[in-house]
Amino acid sequence: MNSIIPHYFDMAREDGIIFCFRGPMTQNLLETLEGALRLRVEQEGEDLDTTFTVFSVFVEQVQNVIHYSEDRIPTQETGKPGLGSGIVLIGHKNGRFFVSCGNLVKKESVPRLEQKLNKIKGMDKNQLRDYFREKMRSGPEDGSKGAGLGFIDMARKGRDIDYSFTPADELHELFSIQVTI
Amino acid sequence: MDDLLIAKTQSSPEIHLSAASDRLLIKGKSYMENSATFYRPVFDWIEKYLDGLQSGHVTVDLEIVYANSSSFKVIMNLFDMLEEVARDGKNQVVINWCYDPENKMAKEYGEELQHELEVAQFNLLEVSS
Repeated sequence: MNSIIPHYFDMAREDGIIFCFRGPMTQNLLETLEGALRLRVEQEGEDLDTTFTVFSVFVEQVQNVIHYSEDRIPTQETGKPGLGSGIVLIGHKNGRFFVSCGNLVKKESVPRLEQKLNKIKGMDKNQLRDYFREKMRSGPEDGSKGAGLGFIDMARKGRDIDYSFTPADELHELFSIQVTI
Repeated sequence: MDDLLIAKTQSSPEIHLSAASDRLLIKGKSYMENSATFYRPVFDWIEKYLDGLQSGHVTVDLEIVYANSSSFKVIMNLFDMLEEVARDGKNQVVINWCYDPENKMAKEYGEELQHELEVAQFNLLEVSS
């Protein structure tokens, strides 16, 4: 059997991938990564502020997948939505860290999502700060399970935010978001 | 009222709310999966405590190393409650936001929250970890 490692090794090196996880996202994943990032700071002298920022964007992205992915693994517990599946990457390229994730969303969710992200992408840091404060005060939006602040938070912490929607199947598109720090 | 004590976990803070000493403590990291569920008993306790506040003062000690966006909103809601009490004028509210000087994000959170307060006394305090 030929190892697939050489293929992934080269691809990861070219794209600057440090960490990749594909599958059901859990709180445990966040806690494990927190530990790994803390070690990088303590033992490899990685910059604390940057690491914190990477971690916080990672948390927002993964928790979005947990709450909103349409690709779910059912749990034993009845009435529970099951585990949200997707893919998340942390990388370092051209001197900057980036955090990206992808998950399936229903086609009908796309226009609303796109509108929200377009709005955020067009804002400068001051506008984002004001928008964040405004959203913080208002109640949660329909269909929102978190505070509705995740994207704004990511955009504030990052340098650039990019996103795309690609058709996946009859009912779904793959939503992906990338934040460069 | 009995104290409310919740031990910290890797993604949730230590909570120690004491009516007897008029001190509310939230210390640690806050990125649990469901912040509304986690903080509900905290809110319920604080609401009940503030309703019956007799002593004339309450001190809130916050040492939040990291908060995800939904926790941040919850903390803001808590501040709204405290601000209302401070506005009444009958009770003095002091909020201490403690942060490690190495933790720029925690300092920025503090400044962000400070901006939202008008009446309650807010102190940004450096602490060594």
